[in-house]
Amino acid sequence: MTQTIDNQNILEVKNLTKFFPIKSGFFKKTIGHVRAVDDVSFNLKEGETLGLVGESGCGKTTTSRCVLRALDPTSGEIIFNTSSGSTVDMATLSNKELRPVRKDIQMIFQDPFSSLNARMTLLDIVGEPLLVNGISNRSERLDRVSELLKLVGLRPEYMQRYPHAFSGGERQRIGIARALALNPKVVVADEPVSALDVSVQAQVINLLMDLQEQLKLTYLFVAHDLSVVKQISDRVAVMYVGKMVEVGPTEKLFQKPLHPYTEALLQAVPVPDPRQRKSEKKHLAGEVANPADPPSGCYFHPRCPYAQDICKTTTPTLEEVKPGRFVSCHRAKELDLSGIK
Amino acid sequence: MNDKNTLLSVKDLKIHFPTDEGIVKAVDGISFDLYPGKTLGIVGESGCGKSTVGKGILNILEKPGRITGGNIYWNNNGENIDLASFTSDHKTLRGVRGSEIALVFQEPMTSFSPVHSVGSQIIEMIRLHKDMNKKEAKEWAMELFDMVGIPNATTRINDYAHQFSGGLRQRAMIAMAISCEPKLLIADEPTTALDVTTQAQILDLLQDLQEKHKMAMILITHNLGVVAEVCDDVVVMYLGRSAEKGPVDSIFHDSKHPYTRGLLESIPSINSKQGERLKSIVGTIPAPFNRPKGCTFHPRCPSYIKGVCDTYTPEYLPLVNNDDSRLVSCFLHHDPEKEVV
Repeated sequence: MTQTIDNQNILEVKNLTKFFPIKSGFFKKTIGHVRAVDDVSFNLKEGETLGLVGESGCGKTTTSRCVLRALDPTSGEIIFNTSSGSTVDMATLSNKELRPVRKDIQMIFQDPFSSLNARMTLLDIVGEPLLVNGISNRSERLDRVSELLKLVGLRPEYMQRYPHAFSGGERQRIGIARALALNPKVVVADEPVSALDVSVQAQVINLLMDLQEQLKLTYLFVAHDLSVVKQISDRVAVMYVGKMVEVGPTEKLFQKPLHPYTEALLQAVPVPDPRQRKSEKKHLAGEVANPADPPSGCYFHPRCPYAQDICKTTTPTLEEVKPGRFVSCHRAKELDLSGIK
Repeated sequence: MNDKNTLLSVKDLKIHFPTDEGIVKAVDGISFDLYPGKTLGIVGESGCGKSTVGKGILNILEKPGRITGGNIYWNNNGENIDLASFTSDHKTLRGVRGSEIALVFQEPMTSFSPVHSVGSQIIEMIRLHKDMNKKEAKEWAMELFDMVGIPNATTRINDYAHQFSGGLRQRAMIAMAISCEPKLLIADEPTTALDVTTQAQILDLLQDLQEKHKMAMILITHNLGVVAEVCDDVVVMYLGRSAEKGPVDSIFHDSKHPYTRGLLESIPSINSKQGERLKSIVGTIPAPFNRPKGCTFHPRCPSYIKGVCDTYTPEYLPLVNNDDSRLVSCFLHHDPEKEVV
């Protein structure tokens, strides 16, 4: 299998789609599809953090799960540079072929309460990936687990305890230690801090940033909280109803969004400063479109304040309008949108 | 005892939950005043007792919780009644609930009955508190639907909760809450389950309704951005006690309690720089049975005074003598000698 990949990229996702069938009736006939991920392309550069944002149901979690092959994509390519130096298309690999690749790409889950087995000790939880990948020597495993626990700021003496003895933030650290057990290159973090309290959230974000620097990790950071994403991401990708609407460097995207949906998202985030209360409010009307029955043309047109006739009929494609800035909007070049000052 | 202008005055309210393992002091002495037409924000992290305060005001606590001390003075057309002195099924209290003080819950999905149409639930509530016949109540319910921005009121009134999206369900919940034109609306995390764009819509709606009906509002939330956007006054809670109270601007720009400052510094803001490290509060929230002695915040406090903060409990006192608008419970601002009782 020979695949080509841009040198600085570690992962390239091309035209990824994932449709879930809607079944109905006695014979469970497929009557339609939920277009959870609809022709999404992006790439991850080595050592960067790409933030994937969007409202609930926009397909950001499905995208991240497809990248990991926790879900099988309907079509598309996921080209990945493995640590052994080969380049593979993860979308087409069989389960057996996937196994060696899996240790390079790991996941951190949203809910630290349900993602840890309550009947396993920390040693078992963090040590399991090691065991599965052939580190069966117990003392070796002990060393590695205590090293990992230290790395995430937990005391190695806690190794024999069960998850119930830990708070939400500490559990999330355990989840991070488990994800790092096999020295992955890429970590997919799906809403890693949204279940945590604000004071603890900051600790975990700081930890993730420190680990990235220390271990040269690449993050795909899925979140709905734009403030968190801004903090941690080098680049941000915005999704709406299964489509990528804008990708760009964080600061530029927040300062001057190119897609009307990005603008609306940024305007809607409440700023924690009473002196910056928005005097004139420009909020999006309506609701997120149904991915099983999306509108014609640009999916955002029924809610878009700038929509024209072309938006109702033609689906825009993601294009690079300025260096490094991709947007999928017919009017991207003419619109002057406001971001965060 | 109570100023004529206040609508609600909570004095040293205590709500305890006796359990097999010990008494959980969910709310352990909290005081605040609320004036007509104003919005008070109650902020804090999970487990600080903010929701219990909201339920305690209406005495709809879950078992085995009960009010063990303090007063809740409600200004009933010039006459002060103490809501805390009634049993939860007392006639007076039942008259106040719903018709004068209404509550909006966090989870719009679980707050409606799934087997009755949303309209019929609202009509039931109207007929319970108002002298209206079925037809009048239905007309009023449809008017309320228009008021809160639910389209096609005539057909929507017969729909069930599952046919509504999250945002619409929260609107229906608000329609129900304002159906008896209450003087006070308690909103417990009204936007937490919603996406940012929907959150902005709901906050706008609440503010519009408040202006139109001259309602007072208590907004219980963990989101400091939401507080900055809508509140006039803020109470910051930590482990069942009020840490600090003041006008929103001074809480955000001139906070006195180390916990408030820590909280403000630890939230990622959409205005902050990318890649910047967040300051965080060390440690985690202590378990409910294991409250620290003295000031409950002292183990996490960056400026705690040895021998004082870990021994004596700070009182909740005005920052400047006789000025009730700024209250703080911290030894950094009060002389411990005077307070030791």
